[in-house]
Amino acid sequence: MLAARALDALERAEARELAEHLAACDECGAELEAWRATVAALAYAAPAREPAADLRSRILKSVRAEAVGEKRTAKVVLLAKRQRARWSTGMKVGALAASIALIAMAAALVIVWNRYNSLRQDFAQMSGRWELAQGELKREREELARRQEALELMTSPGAQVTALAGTDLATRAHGKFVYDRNTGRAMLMAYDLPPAPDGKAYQLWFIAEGKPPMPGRVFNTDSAGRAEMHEQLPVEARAASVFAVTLEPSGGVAAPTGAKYLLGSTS
Amino acid sequence: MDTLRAVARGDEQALAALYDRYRLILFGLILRILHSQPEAEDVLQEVFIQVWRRAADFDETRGRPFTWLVTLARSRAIDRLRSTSARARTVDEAARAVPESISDAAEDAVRSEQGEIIRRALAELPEEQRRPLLLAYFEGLTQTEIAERTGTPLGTVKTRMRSALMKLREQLGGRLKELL
Repeated sequence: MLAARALDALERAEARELAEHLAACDECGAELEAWRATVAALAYAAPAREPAADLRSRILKSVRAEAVGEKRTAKVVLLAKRQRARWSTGMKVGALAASIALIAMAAALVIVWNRYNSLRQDFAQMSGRWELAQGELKREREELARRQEALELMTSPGAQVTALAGTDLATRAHGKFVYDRNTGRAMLMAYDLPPAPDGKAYQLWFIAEGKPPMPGRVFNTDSAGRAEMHEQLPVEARAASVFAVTLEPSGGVAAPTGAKYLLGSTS
Repeated sequence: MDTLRAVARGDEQALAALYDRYRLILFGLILRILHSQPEAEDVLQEVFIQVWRRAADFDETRGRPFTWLVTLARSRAIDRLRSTSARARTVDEAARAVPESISDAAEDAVRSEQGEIIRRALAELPEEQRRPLLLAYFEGLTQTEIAERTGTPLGTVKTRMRSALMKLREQLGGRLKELL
């Protein structure tokens, strides 16, 4: 059971039962840790891979924004340890009766302390999970709303979908531009675009034959190189047959100046 | 260990050092579970933010930092796997496709000695034991789910999984220290 626990392969009820036992049994706790080490080594069965180069700075940036709140717990631990040590010196010099009382108190203290520790761990784990779950729920909800909007647009009677391909500057990039010929409602989805340098942003363009490109909105990608942008197409742009994304000054420009990153036509 | 203690004290450089040291193995693991580069990067970021918040909880008397980090990364990745597979995938199916081709060369380059040790140990296991082990490890299936998926009685799955891990533990034996 401990081996399966180390793999997280137990059913919820089994795991709960085991957790209760583990809170009281140090021996099993140590055994579980040994299984965990074996299980952790299995990570090497997956080929090592290099994440995106900017992930390191992204992590450090978000961490910098966090408050340092963990230190208080560390202090509590130290204080309690010192207290326990004082009890044991007291026992050596005390009378027999006092010793017995002290032993009982020390034992009680250890029990209470262990209990407190495991509760504290449970609590930290639960509140961590709760926080994560809240964040996840919010993200899911936002994502769902976006999906719904996208779906509505894509299934509208006048929907026109154009696939966008990355140019030589961003061969991995790709995307879709969807617009409704009747209402002008439009949406751009882009994937795997490189992050725009400081002071720059991507801008969408609508190009109709024989006319200069018409400017669309300016947008930026998220940390994964993705972007989703909603747009309202002006009437004169609804005849456009070519759509492009260029890199421009972050405020946007009236006529394209930068290089093309994404390109697609309705043909 | 000292690095984690430094992280617990709020030392950013220590976190950066941890990232430099473990990113390849952790990212490889997460990517193997999620099969999606953007999702895997997102989870790796979550993992290091967790490490930042929880470094004080790490108990050095109980285990090694490697074990702690891998356990954390794997459980975050499997949580994500479960939540994304439950979610409808309408629009960005294309974005999910893993660019397997670009990674082959990189994979060869980082094919490590430790990887060889584990792969060899796994190869020693009979297929019927290896399969439930890998289903649990990389797909996050519980024993009951493995029994259903493979059409094997639950009791058999439990026995095989335990035997697999015991053999692995024996095989790795003293080498485990080099791995962690």
